Amino acid sequence: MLVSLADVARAIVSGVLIGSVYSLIAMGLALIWGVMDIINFAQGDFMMLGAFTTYWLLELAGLDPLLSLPVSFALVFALGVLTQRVVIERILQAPMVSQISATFAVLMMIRYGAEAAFGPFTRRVVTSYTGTVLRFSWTTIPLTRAIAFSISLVVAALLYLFLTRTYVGLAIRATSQNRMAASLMGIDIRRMYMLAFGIGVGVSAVGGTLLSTFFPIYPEMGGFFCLIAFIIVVFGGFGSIFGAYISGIIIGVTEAVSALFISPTLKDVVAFLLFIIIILVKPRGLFGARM
Amino acid sequence: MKRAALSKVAAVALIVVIVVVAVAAWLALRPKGPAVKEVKIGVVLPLSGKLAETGADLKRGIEFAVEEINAAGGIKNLGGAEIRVVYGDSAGKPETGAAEAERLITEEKVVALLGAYQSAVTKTVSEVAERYKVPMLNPDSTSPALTERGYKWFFRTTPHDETFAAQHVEFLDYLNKKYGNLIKKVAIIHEDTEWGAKTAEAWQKHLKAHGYEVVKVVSYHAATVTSLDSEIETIKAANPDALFAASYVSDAILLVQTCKHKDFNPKLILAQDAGFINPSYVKEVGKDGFYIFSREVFNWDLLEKIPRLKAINDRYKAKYGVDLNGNSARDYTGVWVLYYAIEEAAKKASPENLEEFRKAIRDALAAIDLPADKIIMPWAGVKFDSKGQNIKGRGIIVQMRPEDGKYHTVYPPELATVELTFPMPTWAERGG
Repeated sequence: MLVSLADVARAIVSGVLIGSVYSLIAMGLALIWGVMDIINFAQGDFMMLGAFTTYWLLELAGLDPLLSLPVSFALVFALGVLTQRVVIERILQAPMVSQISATFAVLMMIRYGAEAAFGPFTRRVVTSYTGTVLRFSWTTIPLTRAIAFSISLVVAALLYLFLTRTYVGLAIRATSQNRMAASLMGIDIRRMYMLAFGIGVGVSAVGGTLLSTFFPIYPEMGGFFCLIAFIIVVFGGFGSIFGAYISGIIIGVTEAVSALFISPTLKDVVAFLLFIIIILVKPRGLFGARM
Repeated sequence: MKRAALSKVAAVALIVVIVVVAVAAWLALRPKGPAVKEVKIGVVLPLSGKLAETGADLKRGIEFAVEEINAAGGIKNLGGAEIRVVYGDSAGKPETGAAEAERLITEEKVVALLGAYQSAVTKTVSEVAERYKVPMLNPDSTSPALTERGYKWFFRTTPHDETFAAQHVEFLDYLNKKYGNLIKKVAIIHEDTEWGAKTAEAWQKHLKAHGYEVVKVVSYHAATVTSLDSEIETIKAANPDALFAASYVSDAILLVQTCKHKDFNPKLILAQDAGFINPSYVKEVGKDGFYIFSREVFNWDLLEKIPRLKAINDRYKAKYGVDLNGNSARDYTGVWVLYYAIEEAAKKASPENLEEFRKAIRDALAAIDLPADKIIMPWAGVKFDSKGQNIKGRGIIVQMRPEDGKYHTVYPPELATVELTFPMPTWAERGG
């Protein structure tokens, strides 16, 4: 099949759009990983909670997804802080297997709790602008995805400013670099951990909210998104949240473009293959250094 | 003395003869009362586990059929013996289903088995039935492979996925004939588990046999799909007249959304039920799902077309509060078919000799030929081929209508309740 320049451009656009949502989930994962050395397996399920918060606020209160976005963040942030206090804090010094089991237990509780509460049904978030499509001469972009991309950029920028320009942000980064030294400098490590976990899952929930505007939602949706976020984080360099953002987009584009040249069936395979190659060449990931 | 001894022997002989004759006469002349009070059939269904809801629905169809049969006088050739159902719970698992089947056969001594909904469970249950030489009637599994195993004791009343694929292609022929040859090129999109892959395979076979050009086949993994952009782009580039789709629920919604925003306008989108007829899909897809066609085994509006169905559904609804659907109606029909076979078998054997009776039921099933008016399904009747497949079964094709957002039957023509819309209007024509 002949692949034209327009085809490639279309694929890149489509890849960037979905990749920017992957990125949000991955950034949260990277933040938690970088600061606390905890792999949060429940990341995708916190995302799902964000998506369902948006759905119910729209259904019950008629709140537009763009307005429910802060609510979604706040709710999941609070739940993240609670999870940190009740579960994560107790296993910080535990062997890795215990840590994995604990976050996995959180995953099960959220995922199947949601399934018990909402039923296994697939739902959609439908607004007045759901069907609106931006038409260009060479491609079409659904408005919802364009919005999702823009907000994803804004969230990434805000997170960057927070971590580099604010005292608390600096303290979080200090904690991630050296727990002991940070503690000696008078930083409240426990508070930093709560913040990091809360923000980490909160950002993921924002991803869920944005995703829900163009993707059908259901309680088990978190599974694959968590897997891809995991890959992205390793790909981008362990714990590097901006590496994660860029890598998310790279993975999205890789999937879309490889679908053009090989076969759509193999698009995940190609993304994972790229991942393995990068890890072989750069074992610390693309943007290897810690933040 | 000798004479006396002789007459003593004669007397004994006479008594023996009288007794034998009397017993024989009583045996021959006794009233044909209900020597057999009930005939047990075993039913294996997923009554617990993830499919418990479906299982309960299927069970209602079976229960209702048995009640009707018993109320109408039971098995007439057995002096009105009643049918009694003994249930086995597969919990949705093949190995549990097989164990339950074994229990029903050896401990409950059922004359026949019925079930088991999921193709994977039906497979193991029928293996057990075949081993014990017990006839099994399967009213509700659609994997074509089930009737390709050369089993002697297995009969399936429902049409299977291959039948449906053939019917999809006949539907294209029908459209081409009626609306002027608009469809030549077909593209296929399917989820990549066994069901989707087999469906796509069957489609390709039948499409090619009918002279259609398959311009593109694209598969995706439903559990991990996050975007169908590239899939639809690829298909759109191949410029097909019709798109055939085999999808589950969320991917079906995604597929329709993607077709819309990519402004992909095939003249026809035809789905192989599953996701497309799921209540969640119907509820969530909204107006973007209008005009899409899907295969079905049964549809609510058939009530208008099958007179027998209307009366039965009224009674069913009065009892359970819900309408018959594709599942309960198929299992309801399965029990009736089995009942007809048992009536036939009772002419040749008695349930007291279990082995012989089971064999007689098998033979009766193999020879059965029911006309359409004896069943409530939209089929031409029930008649099994040598593999045990009902060759008179067929599906129907439905189209989601803009009038009420519901699926209506549009094919075969004699069952159609509305005039179909073809070609599908383009996204631009529909507006918004």
